[in-house]
Order: sequence, then structure tokens, then C-alpha cells
Amino acid sequence: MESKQIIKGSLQTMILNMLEQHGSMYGYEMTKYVRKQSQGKMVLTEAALYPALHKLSEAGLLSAVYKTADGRTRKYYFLTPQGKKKSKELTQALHQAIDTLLHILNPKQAYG
Amino acid sequence: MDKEIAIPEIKLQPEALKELIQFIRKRGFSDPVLIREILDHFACKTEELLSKDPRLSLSEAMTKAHESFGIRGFLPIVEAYGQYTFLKYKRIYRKFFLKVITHPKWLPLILLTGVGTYYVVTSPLLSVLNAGPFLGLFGIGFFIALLLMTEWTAMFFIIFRKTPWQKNTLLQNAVRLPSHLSFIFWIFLMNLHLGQAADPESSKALFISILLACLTALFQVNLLSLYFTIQEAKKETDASHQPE
Repeated sequence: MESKQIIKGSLQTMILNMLEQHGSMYGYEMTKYVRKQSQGKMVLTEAALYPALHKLSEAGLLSAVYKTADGRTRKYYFLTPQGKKKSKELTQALHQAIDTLLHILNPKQAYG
Repeated sequence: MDKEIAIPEIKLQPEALKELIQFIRKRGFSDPVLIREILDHFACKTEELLSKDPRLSLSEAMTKAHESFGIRGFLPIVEAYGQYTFLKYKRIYRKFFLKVITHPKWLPLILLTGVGTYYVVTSPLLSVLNAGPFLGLFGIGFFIALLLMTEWTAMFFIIFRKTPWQKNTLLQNAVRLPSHLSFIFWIFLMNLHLGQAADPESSKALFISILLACLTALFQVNLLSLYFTIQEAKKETDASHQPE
């Protein structure tokens, strides 16, 4: 349960990073990707995903385009230039935060 | 961990998509804009369920897919979209506001409105009418404000006469703007101004007259900006209909 709170704080970083890696994705595709990459350990719910996507769009980090796919309208999200820059910054910051935490939690492994 | 087995993908046909749309409508979301936001994700989940268990009927798959959205169903998607569009149209409104006050086509009209209001409120005839038995009850300011409201109502009627207004999320968000509160302030000021009739030459009366003129001009800019914002919302609504 506690890990969910930790991951929740990284949601926006995760979304930006996914889009940076894949170019453009639609909502369901993002939930499926997270489920697959986490081997089912993490479920990205619609209640968490869509407010985050709209917040990032409002901040100018994402944009979206509607295309026809499988007989219906599909909304693809992609990073703006500002979003690409922010994605790199946040991903780096998250990696550093994780490294720092690991040093605190496993000092013997960190320092030998 | 077992290797994930590739599952043949089932794609929903147009007839099945129509049933999904009916399902969404029955949950209270009939606005085409909202259906557009919900449908694809809902359809993908339904397809995944059908691919994993082809014995499921479409109805069973839809129900299970809807349950997987959680206790609030489609609401989180709808609410997130509603908030996003409100902020988006607020931005669009501001853009039109700046455009209107700097456009050579609209600026003369706005200035004329302001100057015209100034001459009307400083006219001695206004105080005479206000002191009369009929208008004295409500105040001439109230009736002038009513005239402006009629203009507002006429604008709405012209734009919305062929639009299902109540079910249109984008239009609702486009007009959820606080700018027309200036109208209520206008009524208050108008009646306050007419209370200065005892000393119309006072600097206070002059100040209020100028303020009223500015407020009327602002109200005109607001109406025009809102009109253009609503047109944008209408365009987006028309573009949101699902492909046949």
C-alpha cells in the first residue's frame, strides 16, 4: 500500500517519460503499458490518469490530437517542446531521488 | 513468472460501438463531446475482455469493463475533461477580450458605447424620468440594465437556437465565466448615480458617470468576447461527432 503513495507522487513524471519514449500514446495504451512494465504490480486507473493528463495539457507540457482508429475517435497525447524539456528534468530528478533514498536505506551497499 | 501469452485481438465492429455509445448514454452522458472522451477507452477495455474470454457476450464485457473504471464509473474522465475545458475557454475568452479591445473594427463601437452612456447618464432628462411615478419605483437604471440584458438574451437565442444547450459541455464551460458580474455592479452604480441628482455638478456625480460609461463599454467587450468564445465551443462540439 505504501508503495502506491510513492508511485502516485511520480505519476506526472511517468506520463511525461512514457510519451518521451513513445512519441504519442492514447489513454488506454498508457494504462496497458504501465501494467505490462510493472508486471501487474501497478495499475494506472482512469481516475488518476485523466486528471493528470489534463493538468499536464493545461500546463502546456502536452498536447493532443484526435485521429480515427478502429472505427472511433482516439485521442493521442504527445509532448510539446516544453514538455520534452520538462520530462528530461523530472526523470533525472526522480532518478537522483531514488539513488539518494537507496543510499539512506542501504548504506552498507552504497558505501561498501 | 509465466511468459505472457499473446491473445488474438478482437476489434469491435460499428454495430457493437453503437451499443457502447448507448451504454454510455444510459449512464447519463449524452453530450457527443463527452461520449468522444469516454468511448475509446471503454471500447479498448471491452475488446481486451472479449479477447481474453470470447465466451463473454458484448453486454457482459461492457458491464465488466465499466466496473473496472471503479466505483465512480466514467465520472473521473468527465470531471477532468470539464475542468480542462473550463480553463481552456477561460484562456480563449481572454484572448478574444484583448483582440476585441484592440481591433479597429470593434474599438469604435466600444468607444461609442462608452461615450453614449456618459451622455445619457449626465442628461437632465434621465433625472426627470427617474422622478416620475412609474420609473421612480424601480429606477431608470434598472430599465436600462434590462435593455442590456435583452441584448444578451437575444445573442444567446441567435447562437443557441439550434444547439442542445443543456447537454453541451463545451458551451456550458464557455459561459461559466465571471465577467458578466460587471452587469450587476452596473445596475447598482446606475441607481447610485441617479441618487446624486440633487447635485449633478458634483465631482462625485462626474466620477460615477465616467465609471458607468467605462462599465458599459466593458460590458459590450464582454458580450463580444463571449460571443466569439461560444462560437469556438460550437465549432469544437460540431467536430466531435463520431465517424459513421
